[in-house]
Amino acid sequence: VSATGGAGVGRGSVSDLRAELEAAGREGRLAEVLSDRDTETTLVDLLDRLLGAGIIIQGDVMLSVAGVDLLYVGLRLIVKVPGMPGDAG
Amino acid sequence: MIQLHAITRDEVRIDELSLSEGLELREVICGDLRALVSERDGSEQPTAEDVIAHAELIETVSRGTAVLPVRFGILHGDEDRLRAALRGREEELLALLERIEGRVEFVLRADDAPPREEIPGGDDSETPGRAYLERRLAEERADAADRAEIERRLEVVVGRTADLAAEVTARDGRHGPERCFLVRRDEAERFVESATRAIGDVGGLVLGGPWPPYTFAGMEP
Repeated sequence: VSATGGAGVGRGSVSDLRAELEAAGREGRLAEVLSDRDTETTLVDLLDRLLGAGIIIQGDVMLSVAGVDLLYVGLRLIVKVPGMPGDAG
Repeated sequence: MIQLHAITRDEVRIDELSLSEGLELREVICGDLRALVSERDGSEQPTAEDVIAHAELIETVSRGTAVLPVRFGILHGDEDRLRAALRGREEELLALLERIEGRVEFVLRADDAPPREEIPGGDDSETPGRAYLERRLAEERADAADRAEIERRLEVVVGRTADLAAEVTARDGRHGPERCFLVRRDEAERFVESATRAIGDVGGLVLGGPWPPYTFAGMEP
């Protein structure tokens, strides 16, 4: 099951998103999918979960993630799958 | 150093997992718990690739077994130091694993609202300080009213999906107030249908998921 498909509904799977973008790249619809608000929702929620939720176990070092907005841009580039036709990098 | 990604109770067939390139996962056993870790240079700044690899690992493992997602970026000096950190929390972590077993998380929050029109202030030619403060006060009141409206809409959806959610919790995310739902995996489809109908009625909200239960893994069992 996925929350994909309706207006204002994001996906809950990075792998599914990557697969969808790969397919979109093959079909020449990459720009369309990347500008899709559901894609935005997925990436925003993913970042929020990874950096702001999850269990915390006392560690020796906590990696600091500087510039969350930059990281968000980085995630968009990563899930575009480098080398894909239409990938602007 | 080693980076901690997830904690589980069951054996994970690491060799059968499809992991991000370069991520060499291994297991550290501590009593009844198994910690999934990878080698990491603690002095390197994390990249977006690291974040995605962590997310995909949790997602992949959680398809087969109950997993506690660990917040990104926690490193331990070695396996003994990790075991020391886990020791004493075993009971709590096992209770959390029981809580999230067979369940997924959905998140409901406000859609990105269009920027509000500028709030008019008074004539600031003679009393610029006062005009500025009045404008700030008006903006704060408008923000509070927006937040109250979002909270009202969130609660409508919570009410209409109550029979399908095992737990609901409120938190503040980067986009303001959220409601996180812990939902049985086999009820997820019905939950999405029900929530989507309710969102359609109230408007202005977005639903994301199903995610591994990040939020509920970080709460008191």
